[in-house]
Amino acid sequence: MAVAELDREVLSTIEEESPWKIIWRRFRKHKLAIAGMMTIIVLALACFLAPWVAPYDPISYQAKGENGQILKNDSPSFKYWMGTDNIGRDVLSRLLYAGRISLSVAFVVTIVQTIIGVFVGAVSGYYGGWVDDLIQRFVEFIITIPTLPLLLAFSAILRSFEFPGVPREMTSVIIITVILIAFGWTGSTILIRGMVLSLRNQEFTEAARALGLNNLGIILRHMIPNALAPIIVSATLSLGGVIVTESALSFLGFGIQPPVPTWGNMLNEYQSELWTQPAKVFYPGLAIFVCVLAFNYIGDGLRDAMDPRLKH
Amino acid sequence: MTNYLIRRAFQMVIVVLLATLAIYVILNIAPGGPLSGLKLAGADRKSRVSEEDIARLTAYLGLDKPMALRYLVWLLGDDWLGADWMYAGLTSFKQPKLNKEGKPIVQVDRDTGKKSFVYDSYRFWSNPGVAQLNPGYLLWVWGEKTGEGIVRADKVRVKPNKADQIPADMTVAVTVISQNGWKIIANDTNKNKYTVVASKETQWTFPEGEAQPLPAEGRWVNVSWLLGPGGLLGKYAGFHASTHGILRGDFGWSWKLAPGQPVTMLMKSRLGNTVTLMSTAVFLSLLIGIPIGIYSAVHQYSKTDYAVTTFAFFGSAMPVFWFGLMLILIFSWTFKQWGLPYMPTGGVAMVREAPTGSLLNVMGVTPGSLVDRLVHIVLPAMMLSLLYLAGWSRYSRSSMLEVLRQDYVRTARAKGLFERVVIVKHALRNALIPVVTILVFDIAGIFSGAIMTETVFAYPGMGRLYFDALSADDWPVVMAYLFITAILVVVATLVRDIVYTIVDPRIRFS
Repeated sequence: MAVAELDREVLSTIEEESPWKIIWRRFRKHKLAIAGMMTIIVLALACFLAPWVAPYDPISYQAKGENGQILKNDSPSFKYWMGTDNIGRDVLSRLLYAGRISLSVAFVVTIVQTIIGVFVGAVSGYYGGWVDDLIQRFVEFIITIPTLPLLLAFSAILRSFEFPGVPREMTSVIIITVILIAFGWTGSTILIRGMVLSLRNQEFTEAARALGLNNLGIILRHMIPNALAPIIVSATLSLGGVIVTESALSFLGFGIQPPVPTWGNMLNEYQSELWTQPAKVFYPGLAIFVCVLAFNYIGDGLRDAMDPRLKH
Repeated sequence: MTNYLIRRAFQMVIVVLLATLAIYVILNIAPGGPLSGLKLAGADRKSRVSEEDIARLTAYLGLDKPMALRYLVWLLGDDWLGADWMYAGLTSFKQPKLNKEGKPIVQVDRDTGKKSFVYDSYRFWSNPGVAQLNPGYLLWVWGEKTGEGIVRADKVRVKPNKADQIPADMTVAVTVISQNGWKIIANDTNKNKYTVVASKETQWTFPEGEAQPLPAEGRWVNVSWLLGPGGLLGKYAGFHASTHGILRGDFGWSWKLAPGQPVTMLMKSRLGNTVTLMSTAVFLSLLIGIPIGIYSAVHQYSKTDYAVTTFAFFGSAMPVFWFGLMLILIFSWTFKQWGLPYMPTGGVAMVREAPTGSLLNVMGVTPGSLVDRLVHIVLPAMMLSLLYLAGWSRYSRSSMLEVLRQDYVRTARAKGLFERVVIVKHALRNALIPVVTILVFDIAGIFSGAIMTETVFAYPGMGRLYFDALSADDWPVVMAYLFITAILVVVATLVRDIVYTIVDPRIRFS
């Protein structure tokens, strides 16, 4: 009986499971990755639903005391869980809205830079020759240079830049997103180039070409889907990196500018009150840390789940 | 090998030149140009920077010249071009440096006993026609009365000693009330109002000790615009007569952080601090990171291994700046709350005596001593070390794991060697090859790695200098920093490749 049951189970898994299901099954076993995913889901929900979740407006609300005086640098209370900042804004609300910006920037940057990286890498690996040479030299150059000084320099010179039709406080968000993308696409380029180089000479590529598929079609239909797994893993791992870099820039005052809150510029604001209100410095950093840790664990779990070497 | 080195050196030169071009162009084609920050401040009406000031500053800094020319000057200097035409309206003068009592400082040469003045060199934008004479200044004017109460000045002596014999040929002696460009409104001793009209031809005499000796061209020196609130460029603003260009090791003059000071000097004063900090951090993290990485690889899947990998994971996810703030929170804030000897939160050494209750006070350290500096470096070094430690333990662990899988390790074990010998002699030496090359690459990170740390701990090093320069739009400093970083990267790449061939004979370059 036990044998029959086992057989049925094995058979059913073979028949029904798609690759994604297999990955999910393996991923589930990685407890920390699951914990990371839960954390991210909760955090992302809280942040993206900030207009409904957050108790107060992050920018315009001012905490008022019983006598109508503005509560500046108020310590945590039942009404203001994390206290208020130096002009009476609710820290918790700001933290949630900040997460919205920080996470959105991280997602947008990662998605766009992965798309660019994948495309450039695929072209570079598929065509080879001088195109490949040129792209690879450029990528190597970007990877060797220490990026923080350059990121700082770029955001410093773009400080006064204005986009027509974009509210001024959102300008820095766009600029930082663009800068981070500009310096971040190289990782996935290298990855996919390697994959494409190995896939290029395989038989199914030959077959596709024989069937009359053009180069772009081969890249889009055969190369990229085949290289998808490592791309997803590296993109997940880079999410954390983007969050840290963005907060680092904002912390130094060269990133997203107040009043738009991000975890980085909140740290910058509260840094000066370290001696009077140390708890306020604690929260934004903790948010960054937890977020990055969670993303890294998810990436780790995905790698274990998707690594072809682990396939049965 | 020689051929290879020559080729690489040639490539290096090209890459460095390209880097300089990139740095210069990118920083200069930015919307608004290098003065964009200043313009922004002007637009916000935060400072009294007017359009005119910016125009003057642009000319003063030579920014009105074509970019190709400016790039060339930045690269090669302008001494071979003749400097002054680059910066229209620029004059310079020297005067003895004065001490607090207003007397010239005299320098005595130790060997020869020769006495000499210490000179301050000023190089000012001089705007012909606009002099700044403070109200209350006494003027002796020689000239011609051209109308009722109007004097056209040929010669003016500023702030004469009242006890002096009044020269007989003098036209009028007046006290300055206000000034509008060429026109000076003044009263004479009988309260008669005079308008003294000066011109480019007017000769000026300034008393000793005033900062207005006449420039060589006979132009008036207006330093008022330099002395805005906080200063556009500060009092000693200036451009040196000539620069030698970055390729000859002259990074020009700082615009704002230390106006008129050579960037090289500014960097020299900071470099030592950064190198001390970085080498401490790298050394500490190597000393701890590599052994624990090796240990956890050898004992893979043990509890220690899990602890090490978890630590590395946490360390790499930790935003370093926050970690630094937390260090301050723990070792300074909490310790102070608990009445324990607490750590200093920033700087490189004490400026004055340590406050009571602090660690330095408890230890009885004198400001500026070695112990003082050591105590100050503890927290920044801890912050930096964490970053490196996480990386190093990871690298060395994975590298060691890779090597332990190799056939020659199995062979060594099969030969019956002691495990210790296998690990130390066969595995470790090979596992360290990639580690060494990564270490070499950290040379390039010496400058950039410390921006965060130095900012959090207000540590006066290169990273902090770069950060300050960016905040203050001090572009010569920014460009110098980026240029040096580029060179370090290029050199590190070469050194890494050479080190590769030395430590790993399997790799050969041709």
